[in-house]
Amino acid sequence: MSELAIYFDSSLCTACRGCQASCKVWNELPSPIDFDAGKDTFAGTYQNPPDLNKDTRLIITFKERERENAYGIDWGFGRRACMHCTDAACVEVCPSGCLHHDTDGTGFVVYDVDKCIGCQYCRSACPFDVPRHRGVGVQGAGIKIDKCTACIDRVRHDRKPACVGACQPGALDFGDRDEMIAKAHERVDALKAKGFEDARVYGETEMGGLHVINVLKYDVSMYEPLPDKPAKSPLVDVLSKVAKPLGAVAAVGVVGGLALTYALAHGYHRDKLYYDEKNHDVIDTDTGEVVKHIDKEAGER
Amino acid sequence: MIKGYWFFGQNPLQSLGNSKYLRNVIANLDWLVFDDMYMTETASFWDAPDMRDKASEINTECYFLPIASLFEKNGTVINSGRVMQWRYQAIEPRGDSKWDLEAIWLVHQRLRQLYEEEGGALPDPILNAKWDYAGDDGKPDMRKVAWELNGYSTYGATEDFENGTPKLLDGYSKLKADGSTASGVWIYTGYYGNPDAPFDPAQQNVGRRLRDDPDGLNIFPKWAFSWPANRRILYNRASCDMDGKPWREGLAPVEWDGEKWVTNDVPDFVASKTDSDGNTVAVEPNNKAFFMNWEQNARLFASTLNDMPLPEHYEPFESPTENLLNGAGSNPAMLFNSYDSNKKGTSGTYPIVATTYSFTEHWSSGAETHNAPVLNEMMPTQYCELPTELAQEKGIENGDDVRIFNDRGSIVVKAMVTKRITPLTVNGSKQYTIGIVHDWGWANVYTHGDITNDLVPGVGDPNSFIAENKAFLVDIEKA
Repeated sequence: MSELAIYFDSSLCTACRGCQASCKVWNELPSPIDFDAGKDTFAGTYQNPPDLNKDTRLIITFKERERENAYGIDWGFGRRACMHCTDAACVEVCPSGCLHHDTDGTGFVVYDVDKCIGCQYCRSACPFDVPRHRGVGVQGAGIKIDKCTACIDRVRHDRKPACVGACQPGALDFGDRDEMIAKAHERVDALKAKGFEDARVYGETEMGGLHVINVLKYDVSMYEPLPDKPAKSPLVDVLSKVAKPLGAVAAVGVVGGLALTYALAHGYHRDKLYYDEKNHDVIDTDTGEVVKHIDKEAGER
Repeated sequence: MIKGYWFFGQNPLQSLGNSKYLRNVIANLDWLVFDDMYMTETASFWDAPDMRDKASEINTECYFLPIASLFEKNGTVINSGRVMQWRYQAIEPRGDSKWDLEAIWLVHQRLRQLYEEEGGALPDPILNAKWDYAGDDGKPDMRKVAWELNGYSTYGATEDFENGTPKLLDGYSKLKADGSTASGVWIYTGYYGNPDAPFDPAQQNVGRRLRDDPDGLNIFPKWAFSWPANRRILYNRASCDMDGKPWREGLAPVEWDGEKWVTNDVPDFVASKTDSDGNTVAVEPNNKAFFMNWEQNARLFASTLNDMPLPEHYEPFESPTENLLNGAGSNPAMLFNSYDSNKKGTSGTYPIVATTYSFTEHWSSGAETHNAPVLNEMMPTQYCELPTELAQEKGIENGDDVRIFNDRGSIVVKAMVTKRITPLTVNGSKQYTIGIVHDWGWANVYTHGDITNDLVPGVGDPNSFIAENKAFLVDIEKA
């Protein structure tokens, strides 16, 4: 598969946030259901939730400013989600091999959540502050990464990412990365011809090339917290060359430590169970008692 | 004397102006029936924060009929662009909920039975109502209702409805004023007009899904049906000049080619006629573009409006200024403007102009959209957009609670301070405007807010009866 990219044109975006809702629905990410959830933290903006969080992989950012020489305001709508860098700092620092570039060569940064050890180096390393983590656990062992995967599960079946499919005004597109870059340049030229001098393509060269190609209508400050020149933090080298091996050791150490803790815990007893494949019975190894019969015919597993 | 009221899937005690007054007077009725998917502010009017404590004093008998959602029934759906589509039932209604039609059906049957057994006032409309829409399962059959709306030949119609052989009409030109035809809604005639397949919506115009798009005009004339007569663009003659040449080449639904009209849409004017020999001949381009008027011309001076023969500017019911254009103030023919319940305010007491609106995530009274947590997350609370200067004057910060009030009501919402609403200069003085969203109430299980329409006067346009909800006077303070 050739390199692919999500295309986002901020000048066509109406900030309807259909992409934001669609992302949550496809990826089965929950929204809070407490009574009046979010009311107390409401900050007087359309940008809700205020930033990415453990259950939100994509938000539209809002920024407004008065025009200097004309009536009215500029209103910048930015798309805040994983940028899928070629030189992905998160992949570089990940000590467990959880984060990696998609093996089909699309360029998207994906992850194997089973390998996540909850160290959260990726978030520290990310120049866009994107990865989020959910869960709690002993020594971080229950904490797991969550971020945009470019809906790789859809892409592998020739479907567009969910956000792109939801976009009504055509601000989002998806396809061959080169084509998306060409489209973005064409659009930026058109915007410049209309007088938007600061319009630019964002993503062609940043971080070795992003796999989200953005058309920015205004200067980059209207899309906070998007950095003007994203760069790998010097910390990344430290993390990947020094801490990563340590982290890997630590990961092993955590597991070993946990096993030791369990073994030493007084009175702790884990039932040893054995599964009889013939009769579909779960049997207690010590007592020989049938703990559970699995009724395969009734569809039990 | 009005004794009772039956609400169908609407939430007027949340969505109409002067809501606080309305929910207090509605408690004088003997009975109320609410027919809805959700327990709305209307269905639980006694539970309003200002009525809860005295709810035991309300003697109105209330019934709530749980109603099936749009995915649980079939029938016609019509959008505001006049396109009618047949929609099929996807799942069975949950629990004891029923289609609206079935609810009416059951009440009618019971009423009829009571009239037959016990008699009553005005029996004729009840006992003689044409009501032969039963399907095989004894429940109402939407397709038979579609026959009724579309229109049919009345000769043998009683047997036709029983046997499933209605003589359906394919266009409103077939309707006669002599009793030989019947139609529930003449503008719909033809939407379900194929007598060869009366039980198959897919073989009716309303059920077709063809994607033909002649000349790429995005008209799609064979996708479902557009009332009347499948006309997709009304007044389409006006897309051409007097000689029938399109104002813009390549974008005309109709065009005169020198001999006849080329039509990508059903002409909304007289494009052909029958001559004395009985032949259909083309009508050459003329100035007759509006054939529903007797003279077939557009009107600048209209005799049919209740308030004016010519367009005129009027100020709203409550305005911060006099009418600078003509000195007339607000519309003299405005409906209900003399009612005391409107408690008209003046700019001396209430100096700020307020308007109300909805926004992307929530629809109307929010009964449905507030039940989608993903939408609540994207806009978690009711808010008011106000200008930066006004906020500074009143000491209001972004995200603060603010109280907005006038003589009709008082609500507390969150402040959204913005440069998007700038102060105006009206008649020489600075005028602030604020915008309040109106999609909240007390009834939802996930979120709650005050009723914005408590602040709105209950007045309306004398021609369309459209309520004047979008301009009124208030004051605002930090809550």
